[in-house]
Amino acid sequence: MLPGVGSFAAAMHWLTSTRIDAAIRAAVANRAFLLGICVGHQLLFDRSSELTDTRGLGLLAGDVDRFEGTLPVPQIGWNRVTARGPLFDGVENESFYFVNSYAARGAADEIARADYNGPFTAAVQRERVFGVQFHPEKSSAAGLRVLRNFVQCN
Amino acid sequence: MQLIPSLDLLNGRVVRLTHGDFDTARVYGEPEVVLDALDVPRGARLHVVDLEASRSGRPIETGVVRRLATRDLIVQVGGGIRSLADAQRWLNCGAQRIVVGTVAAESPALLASLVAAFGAQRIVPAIDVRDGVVRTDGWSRASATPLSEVFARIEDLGIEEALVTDIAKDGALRGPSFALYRELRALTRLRLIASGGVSTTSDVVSLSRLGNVSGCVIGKALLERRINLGELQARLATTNTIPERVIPCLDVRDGRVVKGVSFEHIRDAGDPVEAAMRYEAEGADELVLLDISATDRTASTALDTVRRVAESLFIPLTVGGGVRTIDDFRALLRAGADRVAINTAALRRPELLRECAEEFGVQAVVLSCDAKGGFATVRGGRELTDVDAADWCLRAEDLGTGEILLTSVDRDGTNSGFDLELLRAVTSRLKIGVIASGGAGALSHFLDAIESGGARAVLAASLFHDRVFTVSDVKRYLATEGIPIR
Repeated sequence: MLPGVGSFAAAMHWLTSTRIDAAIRAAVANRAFLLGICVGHQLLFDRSSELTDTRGLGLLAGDVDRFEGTLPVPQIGWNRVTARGPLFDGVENESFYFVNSYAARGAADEIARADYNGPFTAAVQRERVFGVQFHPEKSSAAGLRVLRNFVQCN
Repeated sequence: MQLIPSLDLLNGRVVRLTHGDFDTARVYGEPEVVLDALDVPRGARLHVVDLEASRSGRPIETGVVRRLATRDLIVQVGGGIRSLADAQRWLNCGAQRIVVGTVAAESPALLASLVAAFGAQRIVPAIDVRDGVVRTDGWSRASATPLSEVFARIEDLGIEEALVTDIAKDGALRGPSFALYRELRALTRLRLIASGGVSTTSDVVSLSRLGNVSGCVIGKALLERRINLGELQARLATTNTIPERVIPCLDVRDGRVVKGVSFEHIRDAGDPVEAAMRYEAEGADELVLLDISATDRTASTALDTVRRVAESLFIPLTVGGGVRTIDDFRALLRAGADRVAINTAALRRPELLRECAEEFGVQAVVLSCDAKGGFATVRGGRELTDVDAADWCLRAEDLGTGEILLTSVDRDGTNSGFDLELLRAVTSRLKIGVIASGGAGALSHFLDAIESGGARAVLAASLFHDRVFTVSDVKRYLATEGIPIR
């Protein structure tokens, strides 16, 4: 499980300085299951433009960029998510709780999508690597279901 | 939702009258210059009122309409049209639709011949209503024909759309008459164009949720730059996927839930963990926990209660009460709060908001504003300041605040409804969300706070503690009224 608090750049710096990044890549290469949450989800991608251009773990193709538009940034609150696949079994059309200023849009491995100043990627899956932009631990029953589904994928 | 800018013309220029009085005309300028300044998109529908014609009964501004019609706009003209010849004259100028008021209400035969001559698509009946009664002749006269009959006649002629104005609301910038349009759902199948009182982006969003309103005329709010057409269009495109929130509040003192009227007469209302879990099960979207003793005790908030509640909760938790320093803020986050609300300390030293936003992220910062008579108060509503509540909220947004928890101290515990005027004063000026608090007593109050007040969340305490309504009652009710909920 890769949670995420703070900025993308700070989190990535921490991962590389502790060499956890290498450990994660090795674990994924050994077919470990991985779930990234919020910034942890963003770290799975190639790069993010938060604060400064920073390379991510590169486990998934795509870029993370700031929300632009009329709705206030950061997005703070519930948003409706349209999803498919085993991670969302039973909760394909539910609302989840988001706190984010940045997001991937139209990622290649997208399995869930929401709309905030335009559509964005709410969740991704590539083989055993999963990522959710929302906070399942704050999304009540629907969020707990996603966590349970992830455990059952293992 | 069709957005229809409205221009009132007098002596060839765009004006606004106050209460229909020609002597009060405020001039905004040449129509083309005004249109360009308002960023009216190509192909838009434009509502033009010939004020002099409505007074004299003869088309006057034909030259202006002719010029406007050469632009890529669908022009509809109104003002004193009382004959086929008048209508023909406007159509000859390039107007595509004719707006008829008095005729639609009082002259069924003429309305029928207008439709026969020019087609139902070209005729837009404009019905002015006050207190459920149709008004005619520039609002001066009450029509004897009941509202239901006026609409039935219009429908029978094959007309599909009517402009409806609640004249009590027009030009007042206090919001449109949602209640009237909602009532009309049962009365007519016509698509309605709302007119009068539309003054914020949120008003238009709320109108779009009603289902029977397909367009709205925006006049004063555009001219006064309260609404930007481009921004409004973008907001309409996404906003319906974002649920509005219902938030129970636990006022906690010494580890127990309590509730008072106007922050006084405190009584015990149970264990906070039990209450929190029950609310989540009922569908609460978030929980607010306010330690109301903290400000008095000059001690930090009851961290232990926060910890216990956070451990058993899987929805966001906002905690407030007695937060004075960055260290208090951090301690609450570490105890399990997702967001921390600050009131007194921020009013005394506004920079605290910026410091907390920089340290923990703007999403973690909530400004709690307790307003009394439009002014901010501190120390749980007991001490009035000379700071205007709306100005303060706006400043907080600039400093770094994710959301405003706006409580009306006057309404708190009274069950008389949220303070809609206060809410509109704040929500119309802010980009960030506002949680409405203080005064909930009926299901319709929650709807009013969102629909008319522009709140993005509604909060109540005693109503939920006393089981007058459950959280799910409120959410079910909001859903049936077209408000997106989780």
